[in-house]
Amino acid sequence: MLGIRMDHYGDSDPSGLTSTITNDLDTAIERMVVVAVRIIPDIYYIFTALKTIGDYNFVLMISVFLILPIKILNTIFLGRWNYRTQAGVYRKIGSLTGYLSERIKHLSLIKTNANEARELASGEKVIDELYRANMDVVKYGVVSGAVSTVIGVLQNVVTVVFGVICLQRGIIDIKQWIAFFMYAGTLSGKFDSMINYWINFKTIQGGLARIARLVEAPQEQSDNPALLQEMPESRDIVFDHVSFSYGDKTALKDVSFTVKENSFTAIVGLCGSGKTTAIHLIERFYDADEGEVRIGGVDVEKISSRALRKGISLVHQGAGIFGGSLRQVFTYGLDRDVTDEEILAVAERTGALDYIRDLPQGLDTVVAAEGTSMSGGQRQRLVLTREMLRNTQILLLDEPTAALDAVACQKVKTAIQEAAKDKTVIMVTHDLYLLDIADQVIVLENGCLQKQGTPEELSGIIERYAEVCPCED
Amino acid sequence: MRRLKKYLTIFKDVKIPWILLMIYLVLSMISSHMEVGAMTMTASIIDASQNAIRSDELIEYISVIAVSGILTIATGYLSGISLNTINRGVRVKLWNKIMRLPLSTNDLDNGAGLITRVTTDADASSQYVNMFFSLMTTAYGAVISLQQLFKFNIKMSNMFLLLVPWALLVGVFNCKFSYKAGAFYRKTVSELMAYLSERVRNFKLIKSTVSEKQEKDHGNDKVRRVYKAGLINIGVGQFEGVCEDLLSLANLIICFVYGATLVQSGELSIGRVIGFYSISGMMLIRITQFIMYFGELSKANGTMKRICEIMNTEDEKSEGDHFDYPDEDIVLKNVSFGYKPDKLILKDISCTIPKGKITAVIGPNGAGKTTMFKLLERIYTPDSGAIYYGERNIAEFALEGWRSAFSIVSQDNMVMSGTVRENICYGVTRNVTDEELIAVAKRAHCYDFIMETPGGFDAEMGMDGSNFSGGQRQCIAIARAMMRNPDYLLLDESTSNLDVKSEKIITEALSNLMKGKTTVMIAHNYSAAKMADYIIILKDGQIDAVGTPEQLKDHSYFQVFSKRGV
Repeated sequence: MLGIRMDHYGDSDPSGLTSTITNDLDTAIERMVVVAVRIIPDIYYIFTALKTIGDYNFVLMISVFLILPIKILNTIFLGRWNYRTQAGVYRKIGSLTGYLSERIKHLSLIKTNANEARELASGEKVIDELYRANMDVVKYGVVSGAVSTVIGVLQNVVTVVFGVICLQRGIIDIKQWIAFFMYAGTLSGKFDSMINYWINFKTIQGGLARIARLVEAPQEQSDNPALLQEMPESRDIVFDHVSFSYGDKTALKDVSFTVKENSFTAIVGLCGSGKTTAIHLIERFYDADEGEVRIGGVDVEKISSRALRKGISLVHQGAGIFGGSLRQVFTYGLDRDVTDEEILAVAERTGALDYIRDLPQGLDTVVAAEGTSMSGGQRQRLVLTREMLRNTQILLLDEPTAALDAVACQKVKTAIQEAAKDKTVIMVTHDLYLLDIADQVIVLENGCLQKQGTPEELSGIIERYAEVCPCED
Repeated sequence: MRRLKKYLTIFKDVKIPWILLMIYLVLSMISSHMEVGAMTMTASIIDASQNAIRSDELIEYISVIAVSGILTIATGYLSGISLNTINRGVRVKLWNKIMRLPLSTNDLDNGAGLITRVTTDADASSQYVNMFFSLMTTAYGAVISLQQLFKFNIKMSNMFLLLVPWALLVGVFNCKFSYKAGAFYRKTVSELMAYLSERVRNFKLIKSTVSEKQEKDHGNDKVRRVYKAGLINIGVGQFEGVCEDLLSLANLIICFVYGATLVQSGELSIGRVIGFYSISGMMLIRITQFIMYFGELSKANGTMKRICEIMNTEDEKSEGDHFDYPDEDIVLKNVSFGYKPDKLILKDISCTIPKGKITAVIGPNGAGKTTMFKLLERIYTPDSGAIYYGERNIAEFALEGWRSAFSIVSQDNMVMSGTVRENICYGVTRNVTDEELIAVAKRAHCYDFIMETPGGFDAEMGMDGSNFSGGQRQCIAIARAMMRNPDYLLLDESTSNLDVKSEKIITEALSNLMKGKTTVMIAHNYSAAKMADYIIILKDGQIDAVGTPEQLKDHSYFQVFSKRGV
């Protein structure tokens, strides 16, 4: 899955993908193996037992099959009912969880509004619904139990009656009757097993389909020798009549602009105007439908994605990090070795040092998975530090100051200004305060290039296009 | 035993269907008798059939099986109802308890643990009761079976008794080792899942840093660990299976080999050998089951303990004086507080929040502004020092009264699923007319977009208000605050995470709201703090400066602060 293309990833729900790799795979393989291993001995047993009974008497052997059709029907109908009631229970548990998590999250709202009594009542109602769903399962159990009993009784009646008749007619003797009686019992069990194997097989179908889709998903091709394995010398970025859509939703329409080498360009626009898409196209998470994105005069699609991404630092909107020590966070994906002093020096410029200084274990401090032990602002500064450490020629930033307060913002602004002296910097932002150090501002609206120019030229109109967009990560 | 007594407190006040449970017990006992009886009948049928098949015996046999089946269904139904009823009762009790817990418990736990209490942990409590009853019925079944075995033949029963300690041993082994192996396997799987879900959610990071190979190795490592744990788990399971098979084999030998000698000496009939075999086989299973139930009980211990902890946590203190005093200044005197004992967030702060004025609290991230608010809302109490309302310590007032005097609008605009109307009128007990609702919505600048939404005031907000944008949710939260019309307003960064357009609208709505009330606001930028009469600057948990905007114009932080924003 690591190799798949970003557009396929974007189409799938991340938790669904995780579940595919773990649960689906687990259940599918477990069931396939169980079936494969057990089905052969079971088939062998059934054949041998039937043959033995058949040796006693042919009619006797047929009698064993009499109950089979009823069993199959029973499994199908009751199986469906069972599935529905179980699904009902899971749904109710889900809605109870959803209801509770919302209420608990807003518990202070409930308390400050002194609304406890009413919330208690509505909570009880939801709990009652779960109770009723569970009772449905019990009722199902009653009915299925009754049906099983009836089938079991019928089974016994048939075997006993047939056996007695044969015995009385002298067709079989008492030893054979006893053997037949016991065989009938075990055969009944084996038939049940066979039906279960079939059911198992059907249940894993869904999971197998999802796994197959993942395995067959188109891969990114990095090792194609036709691609350039190194970034071009000059680092100006050009969008040449670029259009791109996510499915049928247009994100960029015929957008053209140039970002000169070693300059700072800001991209602004309302939500959904295509700002983040532009960044994605430079990184080649997606390929343009029409037009070209060029770096140093070379179409990005002609550069291997490996070389391309190694040459670009991306501070993306979610400011994602992986758990581990702070040192690991800072050096994630870094090819060269860095000393602690180097890390701290860059951290000083971005303001992340303030946070590190207070930690007793410094760079060895362990950060929780996805950085949940830190505030959004702290994470943003860490991620900025990481990308600055990477020290590539191109720096892309997507809303790098959304969670920062006034003073921290000021520091970041200075750091970016410094960086722009020898890097090509593109920043998507809604924060008007950061725009006055930009060399160029690009305004996007509904995927089209609306305005382009220096901050002074656009000073009256930029305000209209500043909007905070929800993070898509 | 002491533990059991503690667990009993969980069920206090929960309606337990005693009668149903008693009937269940009785029926289970009868059912065990029937089961054993059926197998005994097989024995005599087989014996009798040496001469002839007596049809009335056969009919009796089939009716015993039928009755046995009915009893199984009945006991299943009864236990189902009883357990679900207990389940529901415990859940409701837990939900009630959570409502009364002090807000500080919720903060630390982050809520997720509390939810599990009510959903899955409550299940564990009824399972506990279930296991108890299962223990009793299994034991009873085993005793009856043993009785019958002795009735069949004493010598063979004595031989059989030799197997009992082994069966017990297998049960104990199963409890200890397979539980540990299973738990270890589940741990490695959950580590793998946690790793995968973290990576999958941040796919962009892996791709943009070209770290695919590292992650591949990392992932393979985790998968290998799962593999090894799985092997151990299976190994243990197989070993246990082998032991059980050996026991059955031993049983087989005792019954048919030793039994054969008894038949030859005329002490036992063939039918009874077969009957003995069936009953003894069942008994072995019962014995291992019995031990396993014990294991289940101890597994549930952890969950029961957690439930007990919650039940025994003290309720939020709600008594106190009635809060109905004329407007006063709120004064913090030497207040210190930390969430953890060794790390103080607020260090000995003293300041005044003047009545009838708008006070803004500003400062860098982590300075303690939100913590100060939590103390004002009395979610936490100061470690030292106190907050005064005029001359009186606010801790003297009843919580409900104190809290109703405040309205809070924060940046995570707490709106919940329900209609727009329900959210705006949340917690309001008086009847709200449509005119009042419309007037409030207009002042909060949300009337227009509500009318544009299909359904208007009756439109659904969606979970956490997801059907509306951030700015719109904020306006609705302000409308709610207006509807309650409190004397005090706490605004916690209520315009952050908003763009310039929305911020302007919200700020206007807020100024409508603030007219004539005492307001304390945490502001993150100047446009929010522009309206303040009085500023408090917090830094590192201490008061850096206080004063009017005029007085602070030379303060370094304030200068940077006021240059930002429009």
